[in-house]
Amino acid sequence: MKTNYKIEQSNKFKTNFLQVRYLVEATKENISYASLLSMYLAYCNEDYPSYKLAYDKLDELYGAKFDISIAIKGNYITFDFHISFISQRFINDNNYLTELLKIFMAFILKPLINNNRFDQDIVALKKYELAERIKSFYDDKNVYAIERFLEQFAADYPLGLASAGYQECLDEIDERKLFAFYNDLLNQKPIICGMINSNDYDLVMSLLNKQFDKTNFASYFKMYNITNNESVKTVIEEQDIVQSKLVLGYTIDEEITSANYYHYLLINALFGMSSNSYLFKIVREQENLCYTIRSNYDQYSNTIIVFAGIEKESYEKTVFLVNDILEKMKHGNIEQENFEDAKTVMIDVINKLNNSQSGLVNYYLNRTMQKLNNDLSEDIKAIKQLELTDIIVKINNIKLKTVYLLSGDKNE
Amino acid sequence: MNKQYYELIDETLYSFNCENGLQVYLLNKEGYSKTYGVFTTKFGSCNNIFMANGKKHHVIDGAAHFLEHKMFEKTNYDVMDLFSKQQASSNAFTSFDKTAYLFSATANVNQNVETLLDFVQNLELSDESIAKEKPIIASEIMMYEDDSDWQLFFQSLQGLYHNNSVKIDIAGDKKSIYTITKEDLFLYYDYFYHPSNMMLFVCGNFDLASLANTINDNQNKKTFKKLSHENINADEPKEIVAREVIKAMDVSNIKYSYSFKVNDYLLEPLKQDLAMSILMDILFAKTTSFYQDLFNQQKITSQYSYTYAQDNNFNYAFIQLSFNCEDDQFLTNYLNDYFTTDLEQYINEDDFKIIKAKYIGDFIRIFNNPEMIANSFISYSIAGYDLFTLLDVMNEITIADLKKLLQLFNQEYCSITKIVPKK
Repeated sequence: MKTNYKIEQSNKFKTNFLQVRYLVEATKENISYASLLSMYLAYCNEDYPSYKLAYDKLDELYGAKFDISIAIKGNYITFDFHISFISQRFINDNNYLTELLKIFMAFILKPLINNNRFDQDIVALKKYELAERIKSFYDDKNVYAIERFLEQFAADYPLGLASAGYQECLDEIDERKLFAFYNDLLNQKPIICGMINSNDYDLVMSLLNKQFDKTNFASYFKMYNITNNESVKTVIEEQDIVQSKLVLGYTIDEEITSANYYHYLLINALFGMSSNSYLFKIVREQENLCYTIRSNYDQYSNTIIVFAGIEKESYEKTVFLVNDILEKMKHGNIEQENFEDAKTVMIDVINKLNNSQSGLVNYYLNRTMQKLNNDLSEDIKAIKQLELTDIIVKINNIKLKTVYLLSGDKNE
Repeated sequence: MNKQYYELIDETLYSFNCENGLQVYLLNKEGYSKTYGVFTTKFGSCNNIFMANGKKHHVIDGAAHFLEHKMFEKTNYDVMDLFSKQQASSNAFTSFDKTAYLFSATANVNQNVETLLDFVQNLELSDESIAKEKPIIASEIMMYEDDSDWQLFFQSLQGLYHNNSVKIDIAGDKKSIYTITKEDLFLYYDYFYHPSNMMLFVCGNFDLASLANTINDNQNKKTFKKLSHENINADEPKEIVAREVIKAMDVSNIKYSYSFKVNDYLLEPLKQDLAMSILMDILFAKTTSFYQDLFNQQKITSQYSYTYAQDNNFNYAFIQLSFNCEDDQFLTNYLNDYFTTDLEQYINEDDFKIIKAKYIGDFIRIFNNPEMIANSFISYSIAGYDLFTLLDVMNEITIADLKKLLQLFNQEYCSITKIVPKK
């Protein structure tokens, strides 16, 4: 990516997709500000100064889907304005596209402001909404277990930050401070990425060029490794629930690079990514210990996290089995056939990205910002070239750090 | 092979029936790397009584879902592994009215379609394998027992329905699944998995003629018992079961639903389904004064939803509004007052026009995604409708139709469900 613009032309989809990305450093305070700001800005804007006016307009524009997403990636919080809208070729209205882009720009550049600060009443309402959202994590036991686990596993790292922010930080935010945070954010040159039908392309580009400067691309994520020098930490929490939730966190003792990235993707595919993996086949199908078990690889922190829903009394056996599977993989107990299957699964997953506009845009943006390869065909080539012996060496860099159990006390 | 071109969305649907009665639909998406295939039987959790050979059979709660799990088990090969080797992934799901087996592939489409047909059209069961599956399904049921939104939904159906099978949890319960035997599953399989009770939809990038030949050849090689059955619905009184249902769980706020049992079709079924969706958007969307008033007073949180569901095959229809709140008494009073006011005042031409434009966009958007195309088509088709006629039916809906439907918000058939925090 040479500049902060990357707009692809494609007529494959019936919609267009545009994303405008800003970055904020990932801190406890900033994640709370970014969460609240995303809710304030997505509510209305100066041109459409109420929720009804703004969202009736989007509905009138053939159900355009606008939202703001925030996520923690590496050392940054990504703040993405995105809109998906029907291509003009299906719409018999010449003003459609201009109006559509006008409201999208208004959400980004023209927030509702009163006397050099954000609207007090809307900020109060959004603070209430965010406080309730933070509180509601308690009610989704899977989400709760993972958030509580991450607090322990990645304390002092961006990965350990609560995804929606913190009540104590939220209490300190007012309409002036939030407006100042917005101004700081908008001082950046955003990174703009999209997939646009060719007959809509010129109009979209001319409008984007009017609003945003083209500059050299220089925004990269800083990835990190979580240190793991102490003995395994076990945390058990009890709640009045039926099924216990088990989370295990593994660190990788190697800095991620474009050379070793694919090794860990494949290790995760073999270990627990899908129904072809060892965790699924052994812990679920062979030992019947659970319905859900999976592992995820996070390339920003170079970690692997295993999640399972189990019966309380199966806790020790499940932990033993999960670790035993990994130990056996370290010792090279991987069938060549399973390895080839894992490669095919990964290639299939990569190929499927081609069918989603938002998937492609985010793949391109995130990979570029990680300084990793950003071409799907190169990914496939790299995976095909890997040998089983290449990855066995790497498995030995994986080490258990934290075991978390949200224990039900109602197990039968 | 039938060919139908749809100009608005620039798509062509091909269809044919195999000699054994299997209905096949093929839709090509050029430029897509993925192909999605879904093989569906009209056997879901609502199919709980059927007549065959003059005998009435009761289906055990959760049996359709149990069968879905067991279908993947084969003595000579692993279904998931085979799909993986063919650059595909596979899955399945069971809902009220169907069980669907699917694959999503980026290569070898014909081979993957054959694998899909073959693994679903050959049931291998043993007492041991059934016994092994029970704790896995029990674990799935336990997962849903902790899901407060799922519990709210099914508890509210318990408050509305005496006998209708829609009130039964799709996976059954821990007691019912432990009573399921090999013989039960073979019986259900023989009747419900007959090709004439099934549909195949393939959407993506493939050679049309070659795929049609593969499907026909595959089906012509197989023989099926000539069996027929008739679905029976239990008699359901018009009245609700309980004015209020309360369940305690480990949650932070009260999960609250306000539901209406709908006993009448005031319009043609598809028209009523669409018109109710439009009406609910006009009355209850987050842009409405209804939601904004409650939210601005901080009486509810943004975790809010509303839905209308109907199925004339299984004789159920209901309206459900779901909230997250702290003061349930305030909400009950507010809703009781709201539904006794003149709701016609909230229906106007401007909102109607806006929502119609949104529906046109949402309809076109379906055709971006092979999964959405196939799943939407099959869902409408099982209910007896044609996905491609939705916009035509929508254009026939008038403001007068919407006003007519307001009588379905009848408080005589209203039930409140609460999931409350444990003390």
